[in-house]
Parts: sequence; structure tokens; C-alpha cells
Amino acid sequence: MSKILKGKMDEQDDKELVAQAKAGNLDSFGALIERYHGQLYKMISRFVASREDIDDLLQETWMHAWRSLASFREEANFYTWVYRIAMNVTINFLRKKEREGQRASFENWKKSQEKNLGSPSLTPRYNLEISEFKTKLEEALKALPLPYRSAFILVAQQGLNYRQAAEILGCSENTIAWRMHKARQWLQKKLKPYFPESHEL
Amino acid sequence: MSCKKYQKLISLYLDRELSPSAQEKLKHHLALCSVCRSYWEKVKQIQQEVSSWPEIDISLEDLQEARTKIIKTISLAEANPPPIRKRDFWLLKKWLWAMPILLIIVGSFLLFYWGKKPRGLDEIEAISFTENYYFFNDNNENLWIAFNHFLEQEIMEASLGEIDYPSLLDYFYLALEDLKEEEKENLLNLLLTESKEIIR
Repeated sequence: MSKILKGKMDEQDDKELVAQAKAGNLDSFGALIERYHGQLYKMISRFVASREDIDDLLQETWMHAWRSLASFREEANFYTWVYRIAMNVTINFLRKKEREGQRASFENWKKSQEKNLGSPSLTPRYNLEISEFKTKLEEALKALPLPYRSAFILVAQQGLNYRQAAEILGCSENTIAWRMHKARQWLQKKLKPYFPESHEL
Repeated sequence: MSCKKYQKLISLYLDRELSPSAQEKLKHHLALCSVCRSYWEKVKQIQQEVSSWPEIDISLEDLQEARTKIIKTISLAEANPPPIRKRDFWLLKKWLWAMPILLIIVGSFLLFYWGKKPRGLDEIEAISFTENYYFFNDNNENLWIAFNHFLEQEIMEASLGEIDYPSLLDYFYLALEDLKEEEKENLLNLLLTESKEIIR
């Protein structure tokens, strides 16, 4: 089945499930959780290292979605709506963490990422140079200011288009385009000494 | 188009948001410009790296476990809605009491402030009072002429509705403090009678 057709069917199913959930049917809401939990997990895991924190944020996201379901407009896309809630919950969490000054160090983040993936090393097939570039890129991305980082992860890493990212982050498509451009410029500048010379394009 | 603008197009291209005609322009520019080509290679490398990061999937068991846990939490929250705390009501009541007190304090302050504020002084300052004061220093005969001059030239030109007359006269009085008592009295008598007529 083509991706587009599948997407349309999902959308149709979503509407039915949302309508039933609005009427108080928890099973339908459970079906929506099952459908999108994995994707939200992938997105949040790009911002938050700890598995426990990710689970807590997802729980908060779904609780919030359930409570706000009445305010969800039928013509909107449920996926984008719930993604936006998850993004807001994650951003609030990160800001709180930043305020508390308890941001996990990059090393801890990397270790837990490896643990989550269940592999001792992420880069068995890369040479040392590329591995260093990868590490520095992850480091630079983590230091990128939150509005730019969120746009960059949603578009460059998660593969969303500008319209979807704009809906999720609550800004215009032009803002997303500008943030992507600035994020790339910033990353390119930060990574200048680490680009592997031998890398074939 | 400058290189900066082409670098923005590169970003749009990598995100699949660039129109085919703009893509052609970009390709043409990249073939000619080594600076933009270098930038393109670097950001493309970043893009490739980010796209190649392995997705962190959760297992089906974890997914079902998460679903069960979330639904259970929602059910519990629905079954036991948080009780309305009486404390909140008392807090609100406290504030309701505090409101009139706060209003009285703010109101008194505003009354005091507006009562004290010498309104109209701004307008008087703006019409350069000292220039008129100059006429009073010669002799008593010039006082009335000067006052007329002051009123006619400056005040009458201004919007009379916006000028606070009592303040204006206060200021006038203060400005004449250097005069002898007798001269001042004569002047004030003239001012009172004439200004009343003018205002009327």
C-alpha cells in the first residue's frame, strides 16, 4: 500500500477514533496511543536522554491530550496536534532542566543513548575521523538554542516538511525555513575543524 | 543574488522545499562559486549524518505496556477527580477582602499625586514665561502692558481649554516674587479683575 494512501486511511481512522474518544471511549484513545506512541518516543528521544524521563514526558503528553480532547478541532490533524503537545511538554521539561542547571552532561547523554539502543558502540563501521565528526555533531546539536534545535530535529532528522513543523512549533513556515538555515550555518561553523576530508559526496 | 541568499536556498533544497526553477539557479551558481560549493558540501554532510542516525524504536511489548499504563492512569484520574480544596476558597475570600483595601490605598495615592501635581506647568514652560517677565522689571506702568502682552501673545494663541488658569496665575505670581510688595499687590489686583473679565 502506498504511503500516501495509508496516510489518508490513518487520517480517516483517526477521525473516527477521536470522535469516539471524545465521547469518553478509552479503548479508542488507547488505539490512538498505540498508533502514535512510537513516533512520539522517537521524537522525544532526540531531545531527552533518560528512558525514564521519556516515559514520563509521554505519559504527560497523553494525559494532556486526553484532557484537552474536547478542544481538538475536527478539521485538524490528530497526529500534528498530539505531536505539538509532546513538543511543548518536552520543551517545558528542557527549559525547567536548564533552569535547574541539572542538564545531563553530553557523556551521560551519549551513554544512555547507547544503552537505549542496546549496542555497546554506535559506530563499528565508521573510521575514527567520521566517529569524531559524529560525536562533535551530536555535541554541537545539543548546544544549539532550543528553537533552532527543535526545528532542525523535526525537519532534518524526523523528515517533517515545513508546514508540519510550523504547526507543531506554533510558528510560520518562513520561521521554520529561517531557523533551518541558521541552524545549518551555526552547525557548519561549529564543526569546521571536524569535517572528514576523505568523505565522498 | 548574493552568496548568502544562495546559502538559504541550499537549506531549502536539503529540506525538499525548493522549487524546480530555483533548484536550477542554485545548481548553476554552485558550478561557478567555490565558496557556496564548500558550504553545500559541509551542510550536506551534516544532513547525511543526521539522517543516518538510527531510529530508537520501542518494542511491541513496551508499546502495549505503555498503553495499558497510560489508560490505567487516565481511568484512575477520571474515577477520582481531585477534590476542590477548601483552602483555595479561603484564599480567594482573603483576596476579596484585600481588594477594597488595595483599591483605597491605590486611590488615595492617585488622589494625592494628582492633587499635588502642578498641572498646566508644562504648557507655561512651553511658552517661555521668562521672556514676558522681562517687561516687569522696568516700571509699574509697564506691568499691565506686559500682562496683556503675555495673555494675548502666548495664552490666547494656545488652546484656552487646555490651560489650567489657577495654576497659570500661581506660576505668574511666583515669577513676580522679586517685586516690591506694593507693586505686587497692584499687579495682582489688576490681574484678578482683568483676568476674570477675559475668562468670562
